[in-house]
Amino acid sequence: MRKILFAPLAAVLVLACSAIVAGCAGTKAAYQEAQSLDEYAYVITEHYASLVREAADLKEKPTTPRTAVSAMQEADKAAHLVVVGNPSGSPPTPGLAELAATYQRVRDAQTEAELQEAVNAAILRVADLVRAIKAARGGS
Amino acid sequence: MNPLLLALVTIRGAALALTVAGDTKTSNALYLVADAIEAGKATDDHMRAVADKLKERDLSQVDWDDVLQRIEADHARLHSP
Repeated sequence: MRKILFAPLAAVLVLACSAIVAGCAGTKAAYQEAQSLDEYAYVITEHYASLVREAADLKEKPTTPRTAVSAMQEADKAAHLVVVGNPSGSPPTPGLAELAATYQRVRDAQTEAELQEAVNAAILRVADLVRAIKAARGGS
Repeated sequence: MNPLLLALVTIRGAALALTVAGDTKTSNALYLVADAIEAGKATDDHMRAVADKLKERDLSQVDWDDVLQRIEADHARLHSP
């Protein structure tokens, strides 16, 4: 049941990835390998980590247009908020790691729903970052 | 040889030949294509490693802490002046 729930959401990210480069087999494999909601949250977090690294590398290339860098920074801020959370915010918001840990500990409908909601939001924000990176590569 | 790797080697080789021949405009374009493929390949290779790690079914807090540390380091790099 959970795999059926994950599949359409994962498709958003794999499709965005495929738009950038032929050969998304590794990314697809990671999303397919996740068997639980907390594993899925971990995959998204690792995907985001790799993308932030790419974005930072692109920013350091002098040929990357400033507008493209700004777009990546904006997309990253939104994704960071959901994936990592904002512990110093008012109110503080948990990231995927904290929500996954709570879900693993408690395993009730509420913690599952909270993690699912955060995962859904993270997928969309990470997809935005994928597109911003693609635009930055194309413009440099 | 991995087809993607072969494509990268071919594209970079062609770019180098064009640079030597003086066609820097075309060679620069080819270098950009190779860079784009390589960057995407880096993420894909990383995600393949994540898939392999998940197969062990041994995710721990250490793994989460590790990925969060990497995120913070590169996030700071992206937003530094």
